[in-house]
Amino acid sequence: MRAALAWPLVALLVLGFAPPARAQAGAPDLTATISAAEVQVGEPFTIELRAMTETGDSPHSPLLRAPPELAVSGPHISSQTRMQFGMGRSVVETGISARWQLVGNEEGSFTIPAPTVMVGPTTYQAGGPLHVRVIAASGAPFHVGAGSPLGPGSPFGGMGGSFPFPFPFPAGPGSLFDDDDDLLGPGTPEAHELALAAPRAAGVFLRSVADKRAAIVGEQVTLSHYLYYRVEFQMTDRREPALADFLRVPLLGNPGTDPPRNTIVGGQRYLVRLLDRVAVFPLRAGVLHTGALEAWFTSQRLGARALRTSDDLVIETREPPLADRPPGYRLGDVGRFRLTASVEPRATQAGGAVAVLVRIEGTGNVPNALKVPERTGVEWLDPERRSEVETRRGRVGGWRFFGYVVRLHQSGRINLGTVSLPFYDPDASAYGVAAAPLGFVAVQPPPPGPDAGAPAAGADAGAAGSDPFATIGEPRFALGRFEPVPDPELGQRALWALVVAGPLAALVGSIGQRAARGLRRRRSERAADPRALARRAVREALRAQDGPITATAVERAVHLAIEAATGLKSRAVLLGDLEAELGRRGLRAELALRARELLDRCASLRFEPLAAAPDAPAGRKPAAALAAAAGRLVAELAHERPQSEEPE
Amino acid sequence: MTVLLCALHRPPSAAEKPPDAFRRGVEALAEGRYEEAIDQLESLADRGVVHPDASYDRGLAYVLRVRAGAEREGDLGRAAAAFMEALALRPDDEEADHALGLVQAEVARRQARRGKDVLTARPTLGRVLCGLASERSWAASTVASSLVLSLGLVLRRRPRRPWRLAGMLLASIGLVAALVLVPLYLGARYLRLHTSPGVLVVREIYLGDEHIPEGARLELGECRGQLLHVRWGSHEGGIPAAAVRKLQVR
Repeated sequence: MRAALAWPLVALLVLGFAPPARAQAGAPDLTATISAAEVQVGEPFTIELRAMTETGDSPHSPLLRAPPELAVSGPHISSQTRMQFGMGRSVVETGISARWQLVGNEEGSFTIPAPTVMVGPTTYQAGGPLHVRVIAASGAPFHVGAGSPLGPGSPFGGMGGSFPFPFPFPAGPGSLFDDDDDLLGPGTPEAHELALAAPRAAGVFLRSVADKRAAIVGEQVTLSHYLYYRVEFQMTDRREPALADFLRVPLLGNPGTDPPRNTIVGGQRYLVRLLDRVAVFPLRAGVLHTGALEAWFTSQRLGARALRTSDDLVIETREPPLADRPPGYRLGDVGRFRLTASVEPRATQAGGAVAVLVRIEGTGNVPNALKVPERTGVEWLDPERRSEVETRRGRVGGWRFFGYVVRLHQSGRINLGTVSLPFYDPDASAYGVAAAPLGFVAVQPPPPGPDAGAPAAGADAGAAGSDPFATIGEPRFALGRFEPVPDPELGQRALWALVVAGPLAALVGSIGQRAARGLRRRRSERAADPRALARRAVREALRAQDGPITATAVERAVHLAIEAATGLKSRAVLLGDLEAELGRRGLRAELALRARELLDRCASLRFEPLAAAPDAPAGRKPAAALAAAAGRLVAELAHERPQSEEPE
Repeated sequence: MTVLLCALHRPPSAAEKPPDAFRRGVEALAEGRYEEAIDQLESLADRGVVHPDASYDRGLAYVLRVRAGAEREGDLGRAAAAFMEALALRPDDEEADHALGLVQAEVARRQARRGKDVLTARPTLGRVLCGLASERSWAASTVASSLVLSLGLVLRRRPRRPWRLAGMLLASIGLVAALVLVPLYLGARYLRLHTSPGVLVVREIYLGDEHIPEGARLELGECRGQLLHVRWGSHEGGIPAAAVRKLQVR
């Protein structure tokens, strides 16, 4: 009986303790699991791959190829070791665990190919494909499984495992987001100073605040970055502000661990957490930008990798005032400092050295270099530096220590001078100078023998003993007389007026001359025109009070008018032939007759004044009537043109 | 160990006149305290005090630091800048000219020792022509050419032939002269208004493929951010503004 039972028992023991057989010797043991078969849109889930192998080659390069509708981050890889003992045999397996986090951005059923891993040069696939169904977001809380990023250790989670209330508070009626302020107990501190009139973005947003918007170069500006939220989320990535023109000093030991406070944003209650606080020191003058803090959030309400940016703050930076600026002030030395110094020993030989120890301490941008009182015969070597920068009540400060070795090349009682540090105190809006006199050192001449005196002056002084500046002049102890260079700026209007006026005047004069000549010529031409002469004769006749004079003028007018109208010089024509001649030249018969009659009356008036105007109204002198008649005839003849001038 | 108490003392009074800073600077220079001399004389320049003797002594202070073996990068360039300022303010200053020559010779010798070619800048033809005379000279010449042109135009109208010929000749000369002199005046004025002289105060810098040695005189243009547009001879480009010292010549 016992023998009958023994062999099955032995078989069981062997099977129980025997290491598992593998279909393929040397192949890794692969398993791939998915944390959920069904998730909501925006709900994260994980795929984990475990790859173990007995061989010396450890698995590497895990790879997951997911459909594009699923956002993937990772993998997070950790080492694994498994040991099995049985039947006098031990098996040690080593491998990796790779975890990917995925988020579905849209509804649907998705097939994810099994992840792969390489062992040596060979690629292995961990089983068959994985399936997941993404459904519409229902508002139900996410299921937070073990190993979720919202599990233990996350600053935004903390409870780990699967818990019914998503971070930070459950959604739905009666929750924080139900706008029922009574749900917030007195334990959550208020932050009235962080209230805003309206949210910067939906659900989650960032905000950066500077304690000042105008600063001196080197003055501390404190930047605080806040996270406002009223939805559950996961911050998947973060990028710090550029701060290209600033020196950055962190002020918080553990940023992001401060407990949240609550405040009102746009009438709604938000939680606010201080993400970080830094001190920044502007490096130059101008309008400087801090850059924006960027972070990506994944949330049921926001979707996958929603980007949020904070404010890009502008800090107007200027140099401290020139007035009262002490000599040797360096831009950026801003704060309030003290200097202490010691010298040891106080006596040495020429060519020997002393130690000068200088310590700066204070608040502000503690300088990292000192200007030492260099002089001829005293050589200051590069210092040893130590420093400690700390934060006291939000102000950066600390101390820096400089240890100099100073070689003295000249003998005698040498005054080492004073170490001074000019600085600008923005709180007092005034300059200060921290100074530490170093006192005297007694330098004995070198012992007789080979020259142990001064080294060659200048590292690049050329051949030993030659000074390229030996012939340079001596200092000038007084500001001599000199004539400042006159401002070459010339009145542009006056200058161009001078340049342009001459030629312009000459041209204008030339043009004016030509115009005047033309005018004179035309005037003289007009004056010689028979029509004009005829009209002038008529005017003479009208003015004349004497009959014969009138007659002469009228006669002249008629002949000129005939000449202008026909081109005929009628004085050379007999009065009896005048009508016919005028008719041959195309003049209307009526005008020819009137012309002839007027000439007859002129002759009569010349010799018989009273009988020359039988049609004159009573009381009117005959000469006047004749002149008037001549005027009418001349006017009518003026419209006539000689046949040669007739248009064709 | 002897610990010396620190002293926090008032900075020099705002009412202190620049000559006091000059006096302290020269005293420090004479006693070999070149650091203090540089600080005091630079503070004069910061306050806008422009004087050839102050510039000369400032140059000497930088040379003294070089001679003492405590040279910092750019000291020779700053010394050259100071002597160039002194010469610009007082062109017949032979001591400043001699000192500038010594500095430039030292720069050239160091260039040669480092295997660099000793380069000289060849300015463009336009700048050479504009630089032949001062802006005021070009302006006066332009006015004179205008007068000649005017006289020529007037004489051209005279009835007598010799006067007409003379007028045509004068008008031609005046017109050509005006066409040449007006651009030269405008060019000189443009250079004065839009550029200023400066000196390189770093050991060397590259402008494209050309390296500019320390102490080289540059023509400074527009500053955009931290980059300054400069011209060296026929080469131009942007270099860090901190590498250049602008000359105060006015």
